[in-house]
Amino acid sequence: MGLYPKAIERLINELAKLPGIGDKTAQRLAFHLIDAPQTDITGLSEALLDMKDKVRLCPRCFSITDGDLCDVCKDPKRDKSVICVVENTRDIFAIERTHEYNGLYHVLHGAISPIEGIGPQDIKARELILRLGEDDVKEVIMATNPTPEGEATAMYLGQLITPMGITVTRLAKGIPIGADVEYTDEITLIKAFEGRKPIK
Amino acid sequence: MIIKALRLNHFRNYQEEVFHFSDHINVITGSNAQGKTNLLEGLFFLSRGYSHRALTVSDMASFESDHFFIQADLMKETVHHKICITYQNKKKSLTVDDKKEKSHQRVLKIYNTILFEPDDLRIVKAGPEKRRRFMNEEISGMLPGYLPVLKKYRKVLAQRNALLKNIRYSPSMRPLLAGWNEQLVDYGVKLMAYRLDYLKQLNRSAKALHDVLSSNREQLSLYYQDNVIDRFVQMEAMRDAFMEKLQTSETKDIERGTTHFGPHVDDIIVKIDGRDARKYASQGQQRTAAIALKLSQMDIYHELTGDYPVVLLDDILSELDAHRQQNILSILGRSQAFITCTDSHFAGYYEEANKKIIHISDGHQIEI
Ligand SMILES: Nc1ncnc2c1ncn2[C@@H]1O[C@H](COP(=O)(O)OP(=O)(O)O)[C@@H](O)[C@H]1O
Ligand SMILES: [Mg+2]
Ligand SMILES: [Zn+2]
Repeated sequence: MGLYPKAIERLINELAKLPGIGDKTAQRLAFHLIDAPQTDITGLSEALLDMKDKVRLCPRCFSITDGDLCDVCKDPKRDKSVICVVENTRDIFAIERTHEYNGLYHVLHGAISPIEGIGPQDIKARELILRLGEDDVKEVIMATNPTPEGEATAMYLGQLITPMGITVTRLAKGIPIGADVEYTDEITLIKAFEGRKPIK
Repeated sequence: MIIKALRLNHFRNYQEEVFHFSDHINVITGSNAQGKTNLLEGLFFLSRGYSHRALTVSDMASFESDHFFIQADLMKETVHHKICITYQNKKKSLTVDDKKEKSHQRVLKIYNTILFEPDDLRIVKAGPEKRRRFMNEEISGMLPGYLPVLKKYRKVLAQRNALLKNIRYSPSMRPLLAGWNEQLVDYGVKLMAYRLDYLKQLNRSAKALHDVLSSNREQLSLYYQDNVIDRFVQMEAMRDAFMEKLQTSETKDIERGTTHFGPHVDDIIVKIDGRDARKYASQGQQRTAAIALKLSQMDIYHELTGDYPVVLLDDILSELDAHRQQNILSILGRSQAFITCTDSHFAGYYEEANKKIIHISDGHQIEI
């Protein structure tokens, strides 16, 4: 555009990179920040840098953490014999809000999608299998999204895990076809957990 | 259902036009390239949520515009409804009676169209793809559940085909196929069930209509040529049959990098007096059969919902002889129709009392 001073232009460009924020919103946010008090600005910038500095993937479940292990893996009260497999870290928080589940998690960071060239080696699948070999796990719950990619991923992992003598279950189809776990309302999620079925 | 009014803002070559329609016959006249088809496209787009000819939604925005707004006011029985589609910031949004709707499913319950354009006269003569497309479009218009299944099937098929190509170079990926096979069969069987049901109805309605069009001289019959099963079987058996086909052709599928069996290669076989019309019927016979297939949608929809859809005939009448023109007009019965024609063809089409003639010139209407 070239109308704004360079420093503002730069801020607008950075903001517009964020998901869900278009040019217009980026401009509005930028002008809001120009008027904000110094303490707010310092707070925001420090929060960003601090987050980047501290937040990392949990070496066990690949959820996010600002410590060594994530809160779930650290918690002695969680049932270590059950692992719930999800595509994204955000799914964990959706499931945690239901207070229905007390086991551990494993975040795949994606799903198998041949079109996009994403195979098992591109998601945390191997890490899951290794984990199952080490810990005493009795059940793995596949909570990947009910999309074709999520289903294919669940079925593939099921084929690998079942021969290890571990029960593999899939969230029941209470979730509308095509909807993502993250956006599913709690009732549906609870029902889906209760109705989970073994994968043949 | 009756479309009372249509508003087109920055839609194709219309800047801000509001049309008011007759409850029965609306004749849209004008020279070539004035906007007649664009108007029908608007009516179709509102009913289905996609255009029959635009590749992307943005194509429908006027050349100078990056947004458009289009609205239909309609009467369903005694209830007034308002359907609007806005395209803005590269996004399409739909409201029905001022409420936002995520999918087009609610619209299908109150408003549907049958669009008939000259290319549809080739349904019988053309290759299988044309007939599959016909089936897909008509069933999606009737049964809201169909399109989501079709989309899922296509997605799974594309993923499976991509994987088949990968396996050719890295055979160790072969175990991944199972997850896609399972889903292909799930969605595929649902599609086949929809199509078999639909074909049963189509057979009945199209045959009845064809009897009228051919003055009972010729018999039309339709067969679902399905490459997975040979005759109607239970869903469970269909599943097994499809899975078996996939397994037996797996090696071939991998070699060619494509899926050889499934509803994506289905066809409808059209027979006249027991003979394959695609191979043996005359051009005239093929056209009559095509008209029967297309217009029988009116009856099927009526049987299903108790209401008639809005009929859109785009440059169809000029393609037909006087006898067939009369036939079509009488088949329309009392349903609402939009009929486009160029001025030169317009001459004595309609004695009909309850009609309105809308003349279009360069994106503007001139009422007559
Ligand atoms: N997105 C668009 N914006 C403006 N004009 C368009 C757009 N798309 C098509 N047109 C114009 O509309 C005219 C064709 O309209 P159409 O309805 O197909 O004609 P006809 O009256 O022959 O059916 C052409 O002049 C074409 O340039
Ligand atoms: Mg035209
Ligand atoms: Zn963890």
